[in-house]
Amino acid sequence: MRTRIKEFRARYNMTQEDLAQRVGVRRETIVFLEKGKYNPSLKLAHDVAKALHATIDELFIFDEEFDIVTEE
Amino acid sequence: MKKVVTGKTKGAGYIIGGLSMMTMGLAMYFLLGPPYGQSIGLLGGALVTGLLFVSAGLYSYVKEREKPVVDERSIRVQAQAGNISWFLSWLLLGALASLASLGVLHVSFELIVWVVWITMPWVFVILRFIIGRREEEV
Repeated sequence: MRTRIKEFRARYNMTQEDLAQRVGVRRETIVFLEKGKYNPSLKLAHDVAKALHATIDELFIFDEEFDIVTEE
Repeated sequence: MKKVVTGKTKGAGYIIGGLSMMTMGLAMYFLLGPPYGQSIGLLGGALVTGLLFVSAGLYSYVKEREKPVVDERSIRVQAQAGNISWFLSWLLLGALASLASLGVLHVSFELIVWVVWITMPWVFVILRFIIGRREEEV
C-alpha cells in the first residue's frame, strides 16, 4: 500500500504534528502511515482524508496484487 | 481537536503513581517491623523510583499537555506485547516450577514467582519496543 498523505500535507502546509493533532493520533502513527507501513482502521483513514480535504481513494493506493477482484 | 487521551492524563497518572509509591515506602518504613519495615534500602528505592515517576509525569503534564499519547496503533502494539508477555509468564512459571518439583532446580516456589514477577514487566517493555518498530503487512 502506498499513500499520498505527505503530498497532500505539503499542499496544505501541514506538519506531521499538525495532522496528528487534528485526527487525534500520535505523530509516530502518521510517520508509519506515510511510509505505508501501517494499515489504519477505516475510521482513521476517513479522519485523515477529511483533515486533508481528500477522499480515502485519493490518499491510499493499493497495488494491484492486493486488490480484491470479485468476478461474477 | 478530537477527544483523545493526551499527555495531561498520562502525566496525572504518573504523578499519582509516583506519589503513591513514595507514600507506601514511607508508610512501610515507619509502620512495619523488619524485614520490610525500617529498611532504609527499601525506603530509598521507593522514594527514588517514585520521584522518577513524578518527574516523568510532570514532563508529560506540562510538555505533552495537548499531545495525543494513545491511539489505535499504540493500543494494538500494547495488546500484542501484553498477550505474548502473559503467555510467557505462565510458560516460565510452569517450566521453572516443574523443574523445581523434579529436583532439577534447587529453588523455592516463592523465588520462582518473584523472578517471573520481576522479569515480565521488562519483557513487556522490550516486546512493546520491538513490535512498535515492526512494519505491518499492508
